[in-house]
Amino acid sequence: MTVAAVRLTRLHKRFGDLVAVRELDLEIPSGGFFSLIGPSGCGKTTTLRMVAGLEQPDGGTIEVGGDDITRRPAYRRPVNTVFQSYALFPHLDVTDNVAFGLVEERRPQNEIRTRVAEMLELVQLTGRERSKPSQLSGGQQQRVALARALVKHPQVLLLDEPLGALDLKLRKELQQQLKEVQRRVGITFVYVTHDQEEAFSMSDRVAVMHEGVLEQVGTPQEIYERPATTFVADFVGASNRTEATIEASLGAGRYRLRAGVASGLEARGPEGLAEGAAVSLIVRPEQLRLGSEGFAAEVIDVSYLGPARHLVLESEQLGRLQATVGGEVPASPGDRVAVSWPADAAWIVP
Amino acid sequence: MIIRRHLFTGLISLAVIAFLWAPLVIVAINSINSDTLLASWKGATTHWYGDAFHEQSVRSGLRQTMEVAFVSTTISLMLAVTGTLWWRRASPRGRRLFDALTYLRIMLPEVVFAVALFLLFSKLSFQLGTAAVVIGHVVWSSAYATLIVQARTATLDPALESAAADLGANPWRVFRRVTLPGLMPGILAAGLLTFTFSFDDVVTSYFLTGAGTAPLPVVILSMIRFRITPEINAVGMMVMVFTVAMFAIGFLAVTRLGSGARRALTLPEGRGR
Repeated sequence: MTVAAVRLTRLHKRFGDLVAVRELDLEIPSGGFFSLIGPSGCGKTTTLRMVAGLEQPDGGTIEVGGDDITRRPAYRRPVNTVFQSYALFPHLDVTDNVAFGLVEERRPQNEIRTRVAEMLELVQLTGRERSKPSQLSGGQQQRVALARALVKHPQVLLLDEPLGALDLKLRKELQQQLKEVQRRVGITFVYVTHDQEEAFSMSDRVAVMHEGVLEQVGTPQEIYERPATTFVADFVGASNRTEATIEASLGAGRYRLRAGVASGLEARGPEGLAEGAAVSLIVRPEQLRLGSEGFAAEVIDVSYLGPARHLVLESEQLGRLQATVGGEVPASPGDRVAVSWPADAAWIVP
Repeated sequence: MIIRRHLFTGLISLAVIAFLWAPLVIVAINSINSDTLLASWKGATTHWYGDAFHEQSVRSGLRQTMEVAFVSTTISLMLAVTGTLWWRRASPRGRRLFDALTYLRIMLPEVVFAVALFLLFSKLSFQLGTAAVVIGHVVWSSAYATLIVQARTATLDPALESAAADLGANPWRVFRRVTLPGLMPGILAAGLLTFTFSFDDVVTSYFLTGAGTAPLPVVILSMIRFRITPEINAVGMMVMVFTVAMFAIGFLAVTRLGSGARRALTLPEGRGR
């Protein structure tokens, strides 16, 4: 594998008494779309700002493309940022905003002109060259901010919740565009968001942060299907979680366990869990099946979601459950049903 | 009842306005009155304007005033901008101290500073004259300039400066390309205000001029000490027209620049979170 685009080693940052980022180790592979997600205040934006050079870490090192840039000022780092507020210069028009960084590099006039024009074409803003930022819509401003950062050909592009201020429809559109732009330019994107769905739809890899600590790094699928901690399991989508105890290891990451009065349940989990260990058993709502076999439960509530229905169930053995099932399943509040799931769908979190 | 009450307050207001503006009107009329004694209207003339223009002390006084106003405004603006840049990053205690020193320069009577500087300069054998007057003006005009430039920073989004640094601008370039343009409407407004304040200052100028060329307001003061000549009316009119014109031009420039910048800083709809 090539050199990591970004490598953070024991990165630490305090704001007064608050530890924003705690001894963070993270490696971001080169050339992909990487997302850093977590609830607000988890340290993801602080981490991004430290990579950009806009915050100074209290400890640890930051490497970009193999070079230690921890002590380098922001204006000498091979990274560029798309800010949450866009931060477009109000007194400059679209062209001058995009050209800003190239002017600082003292590029020749005609090179600047060509590169700016290319970039505006890439983000579909040709024709708006002479508009001031205040004359553009939110989505257009966001694209100017993207062009302004990308035109510098950074080694890494940092994006700090760039779609946070836009409405849902526009967000979806721009998510698609961002992903396409990333593929075309091949620059490593590091994307910060609190929206796990957004991160999953765009990213090759995702890192989940919580209270300044990295909880898990992996592909969206790994994180969704095999969460490393209960925090990750809850953060990346609704999950049914029950306390359980390991009865026996069946080898190759398979276990038999007991949850409440139900014993003999089979589930997969990380290897090396000891017998008798207290764990959490997680099953995603869309994995639950209603049928004739399984745990008895009573339907409490049914909500209509269009293509699917969302059910809230109460089981004596497992407690409150959530299930998302296809539209045809006839069930209404008060019905007694049996709930089961495929053995592969249950995941153990230590 | 209502009509009568309105009539009464209206009359009072009219009287107050007349009282305030009448002197100016009289000066304007007398500046073109051909009666040398200014006792009655004896027909219009532009004679006094010509006289005023050719009066040596008026001409040198005007040059002196312009020089002082220009230099003290420039120094005040530099102090205001650098002070404000420091103030933005200062600790809360530092900010409070800075603000207190600024307000103090505005609140303390001008004559106090003028006398203090006069005594200090005599003690140091610093020659009174243009430089002394400039220093005296800068004491308070830099305070006004600072207040205006400080107010402008409220509209300056710190993310803009981060963005500029992120795009490769070193601290000086960030200042030149982002901070300074952002503060420009405030700097222009502050410049206009301090220029006109310096232009019509008597107290500080009077104390610190010494034996050298006096600024125009001091010249006018000494002229009317002997007798009131028709030229003084003309000089007064010219000063007034000049000051008003400067303010009008500056006001237009500031509002045009200001509204553009304000519009750009206003967040588009739907940006609330």
